[in-house]
Amino acid sequence: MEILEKVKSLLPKEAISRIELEGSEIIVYTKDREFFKTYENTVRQVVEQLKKRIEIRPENNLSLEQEATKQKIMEIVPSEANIKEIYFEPERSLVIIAAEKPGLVIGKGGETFRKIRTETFWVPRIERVPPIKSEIIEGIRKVLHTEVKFRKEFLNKIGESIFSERTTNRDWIRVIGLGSCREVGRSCFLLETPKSKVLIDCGVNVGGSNSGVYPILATKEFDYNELDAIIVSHSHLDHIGFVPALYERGYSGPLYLTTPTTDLATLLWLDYIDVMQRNAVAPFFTAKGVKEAVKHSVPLEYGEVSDVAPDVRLTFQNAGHVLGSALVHLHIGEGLHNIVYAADMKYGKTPLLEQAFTDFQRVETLILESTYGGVEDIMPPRQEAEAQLMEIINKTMERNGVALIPSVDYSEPIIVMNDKHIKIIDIGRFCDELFEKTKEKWIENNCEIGDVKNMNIKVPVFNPRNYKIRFKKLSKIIRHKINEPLYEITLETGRKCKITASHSIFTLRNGEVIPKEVKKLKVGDFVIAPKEIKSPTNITKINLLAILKDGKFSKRLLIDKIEVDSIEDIKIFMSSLPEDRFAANKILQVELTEEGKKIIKSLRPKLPRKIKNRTYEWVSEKKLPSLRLLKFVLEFCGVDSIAFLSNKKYVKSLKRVPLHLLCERNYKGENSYIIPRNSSKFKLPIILKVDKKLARLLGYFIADGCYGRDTDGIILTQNIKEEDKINDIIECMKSVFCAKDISKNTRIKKSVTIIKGGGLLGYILFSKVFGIERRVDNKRVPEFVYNFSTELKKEFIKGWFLGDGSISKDHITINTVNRRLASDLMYIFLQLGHVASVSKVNKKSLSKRDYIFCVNVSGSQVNKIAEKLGLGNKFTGKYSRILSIPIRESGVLRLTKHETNKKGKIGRERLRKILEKKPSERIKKLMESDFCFLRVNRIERVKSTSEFVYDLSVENYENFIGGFGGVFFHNSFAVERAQDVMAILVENNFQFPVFIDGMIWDATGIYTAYPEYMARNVQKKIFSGQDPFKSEIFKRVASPDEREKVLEQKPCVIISTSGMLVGGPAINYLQNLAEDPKNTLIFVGYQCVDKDTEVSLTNEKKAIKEIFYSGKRIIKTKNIELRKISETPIGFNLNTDLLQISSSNICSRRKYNGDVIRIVTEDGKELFLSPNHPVLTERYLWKCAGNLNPNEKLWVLE
Amino acid sequence: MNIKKKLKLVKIKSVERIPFRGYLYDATVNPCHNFFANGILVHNSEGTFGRRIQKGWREIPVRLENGKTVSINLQMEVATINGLSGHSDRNQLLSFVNRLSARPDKIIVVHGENQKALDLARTIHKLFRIETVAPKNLEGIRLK
Repeated sequence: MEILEKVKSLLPKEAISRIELEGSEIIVYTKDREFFKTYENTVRQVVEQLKKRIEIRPENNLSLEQEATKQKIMEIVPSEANIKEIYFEPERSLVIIAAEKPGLVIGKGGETFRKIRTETFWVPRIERVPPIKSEIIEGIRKVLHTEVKFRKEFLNKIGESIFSERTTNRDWIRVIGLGSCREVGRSCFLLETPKSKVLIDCGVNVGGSNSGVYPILATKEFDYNELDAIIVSHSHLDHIGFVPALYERGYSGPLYLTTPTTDLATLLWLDYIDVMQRNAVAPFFTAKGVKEAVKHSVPLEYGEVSDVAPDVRLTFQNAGHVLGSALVHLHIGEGLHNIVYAADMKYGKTPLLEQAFTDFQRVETLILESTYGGVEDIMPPRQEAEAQLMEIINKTMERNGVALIPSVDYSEPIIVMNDKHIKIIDIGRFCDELFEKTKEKWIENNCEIGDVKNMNIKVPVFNPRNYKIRFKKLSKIIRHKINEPLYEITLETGRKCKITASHSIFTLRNGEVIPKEVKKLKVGDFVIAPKEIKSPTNITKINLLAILKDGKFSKRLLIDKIEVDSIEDIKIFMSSLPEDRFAANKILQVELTEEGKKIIKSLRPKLPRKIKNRTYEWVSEKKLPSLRLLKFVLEFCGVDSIAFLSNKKYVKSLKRVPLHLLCERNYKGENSYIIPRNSSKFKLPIILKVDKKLARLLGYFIADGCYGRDTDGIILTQNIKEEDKINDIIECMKSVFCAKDISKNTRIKKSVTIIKGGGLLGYILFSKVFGIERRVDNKRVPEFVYNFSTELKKEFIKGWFLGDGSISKDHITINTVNRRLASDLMYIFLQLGHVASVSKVNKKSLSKRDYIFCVNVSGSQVNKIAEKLGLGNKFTGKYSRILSIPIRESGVLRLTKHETNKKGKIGRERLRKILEKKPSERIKKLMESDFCFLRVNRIERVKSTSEFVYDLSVENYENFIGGFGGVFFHNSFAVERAQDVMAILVENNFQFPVFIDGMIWDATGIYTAYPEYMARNVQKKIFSGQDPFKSEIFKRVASPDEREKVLEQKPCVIISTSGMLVGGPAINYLQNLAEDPKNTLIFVGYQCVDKDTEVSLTNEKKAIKEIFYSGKRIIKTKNIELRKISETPIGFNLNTDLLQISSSNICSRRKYNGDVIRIVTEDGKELFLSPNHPVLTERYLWKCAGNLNPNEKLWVLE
Repeated sequence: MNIKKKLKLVKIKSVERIPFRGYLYDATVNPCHNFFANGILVHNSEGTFGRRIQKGWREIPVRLENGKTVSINLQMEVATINGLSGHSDRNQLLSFVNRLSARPDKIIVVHGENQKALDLARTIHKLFRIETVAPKNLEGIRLK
């Protein structure tokens, strides 16, 4: 060949052993070591002269041993390069080094690279190992490596063909569009030059059908055998889709593309096969074709000039469309003509790519895309779109997190669980306290926000999937000044709550729990409320010492019986003895053992008489020795008092120890009791066991107890006739205060019995420990009660009920004058699983107040409660109005009026029977939920009780009023958009997890392998170690199990593949996320333009209903039915202004309940439409029927 | 097959909302969708899933992988973001032509809907006085 001869003549003859071709590159093998080391200048001159690429490679016998080479390379290359693998292609004298940081293998100005070459006599090739593993890249590299023999021959063959002297009878240059002319999809162009034929792109139309899918290859001009090369601009299916099919149909020439395009294209090809198979459609190429395409690929870099045919020279330049996308520059002949093929090009910066290259030396013909070339195709600027994207995402994330309870008034009680203890507290007080405590607080949009994640406070929230209530960690508290009206909502149970107007409250509609803004709430709506809140912890013991240690009473209390177990204690006790002798004798007495007494006895003779007598009393157990005296005695006799006292042999226990002395040492003696200083009539164990009697006594006390003077303790006044009750109260008191008897004072005149008990201890226990206020108006149920076990709660209610309650056939009523007590009682009922209602009853007869609150439990619940309280089982209540389910709102079953009550509710029992006949998942879910559904009886505007309103927020999916959130991306078939979105998220410092599903992860791996193809700022970031794709927020989803887990993990962003149309992961996600209004589905960048340009019309005027019934059913679901119809409708082509007949039609109908739009035109035509149905208006704009105005013009058929 | 143009514009006399309960009908024509209802041109439903959602459908039948069809009740927010496309919009296409360091003699406009390709070809010709062609498939263009 002429060119090879030329090369030979220009290089030193003795150095050259043979010359070969690899594509357009001339490979010179040398046997001369010296020449191989120093060829650079000589070769550069030759290259400049010939304008061909030349590479010098050593013959194999010059090269170092493979193992030695590996070692050498590891020595030369700095270890930071992280070389993963070194392998050899001796056929081509190549050593391939796969490293994580190829830049370091090349070195500054190629220094390291050169060193490897000259020292090992191998020609190094460097590959990047992507930080995100990509199976595709690995697969391709493996194929190319194992097929090295084939590749060598193949490349040589191409080279021979490129440099061949070919003559044809053509003397023209011509481009023929075989697809994608005046359409989008199936790009394919055939270029004929005087000496060769080249195919540019060969794609398919993904959305097309039948004949429109493939490029038109059946033309005379197209022949597989005449084709010199296929050049592919980028990796989208509409540009590469048919390439493997060409190889399967007999083409065996080269495929020119950029390296990233090879990888992405392979990924898409394989995915395409997968999708087709999943769709039960035979794909028109197989994996074999893909492998062939990969084997025949000739990768080129941007700007690398390469001959591809005898008179065609190719250069790729960045097109800014997708990773590796290229503008194809073809130089034909020697300066004859220059073509730039710019299909799919972005002349504008995107998050990852630079804008398209424009700096061409010569362009005679430009082939330009026009996807968005229409008059109206002006896109918003990128920044705007990115901002919009972030706004939507952030909004969704926020929506997801905010609002456990909507902004509510200060005085709304809430249930919180702090460190396993449940309490009910005003939200305002609760939040204000937390704001004081928390350090992490900030102001945002006029709201004060406090982060309380670390405080381990939990609040009840519901799981929107099964409507069960659970306690979840509170993450944020929010308060802000009232800026809108406050409404008080009264529910049918009498429960009230004050909420700001724009906040949403959950209501039942069509069997679904959906939020509704308070200002839109109507009387008669059904609001959800908990039916049962299970409290997870039980209190069985109360450590009185811990509670009383700081109080003012601690000095007035003593502890009876303490076992001493350390010298320290004795030292403390001794040092804290009061100065006053008299006082000191009264406290801290020592109980001696027999041994101890013996010692005292033996000491007696030594003592002066006055004390001797005292010791007699001690020994004979008439009196206990006080610590002060005993110490004196011991020291007088020269005995080590501390050793004596701390010895268990001698001292049994200490008695009458001042309580405050024990506080410091956290004493927990089971057998110790608290007694007042001046009386030992009543005592309380240090560890107070909460038992039934205590619970009942609390109930009695809440009902009608009060405090007397110190010596009286608590006072319960009862009717003289209720002897059972009086005896029970006395029993309870005896048990609680460990007393032998309790004073009972009967006043026959007033016919009451007054029971007093507890003394100072009684007062302390009820007022300090349980925190019950003196006046009934201020009484609250003690926090402890919420943490009692079910059994004890029942006893508490029983006590209260016996004091203040009444029972009838189907009502249990407990009366109180205190609204808050009534509310507390309802919460306790709630914990027991009963829904109570409260009503305010006016009673003029009462002297002090003219109303009372009746807490009422009715219906079938009565039987259960009565049984629990031991009141017998003669109650007949059956139907519980409050627990019943509003069937009309459940929207599924249709029942006649007599089956439900006036308010449209149906009892659970009856509903269960109906469900057996007509099963309904929705209703079942409602029945099994922890909710009851309460009618809104009144909505009033009210004044707030403080200047702030409050919010709580619980992170992750379960919100009391929240559903779960998450953004769901539908990434319609342009794969690269996913990476753009990822980059945008990282750039905006997004903090929530982002799940990457499907092949997007693979594609991302490919992106990370080619940073040099990306925009400069992105490259910079990657090389400085801030790879956006390596961000921790990205998580791969690989298996269905993981997919399940993702759905648990809210809030998050899910980026899923195009599976939308054919099933796959996207459908899974959609199914789970679609029904929650908190989620968002985002479509980014459609690659295909809107093709809704045709309009159809039935031939004859036939009612659509008739047409519908004439068709064959294809899909039927509850709400939508699709039928295939045989009529041939007429469409209107907006571009040609012509009517057209179209084919293959589907007619659908769906159930609809809501408003329709009636349009009447001036010429009397009338049309009913759903409000979102678009119609064509004057300027060819589609407009939703709901937005139409009179006097607008519509297109109608003449 | 084309039929003679028979369309006219007519003013709307009244638009009102009426409560309704029952079946609503719609036709889906492949490819893409629209029909004249009572002689008035209306958009109709359309095949692809995503497009239906974008069009505002809220009850969508979906075929699962096991072949079953379920109906999804779409309550979630739906948003479309346009500016993130990898394609140049009209302005970018025009400025690309303008900024090319070598001015081409001829521009072949492809890869676009009929109307859009023609639109762009016309505009480029008007603005830059460059010969433009928007060929149809199989049309050969001689360059030299």
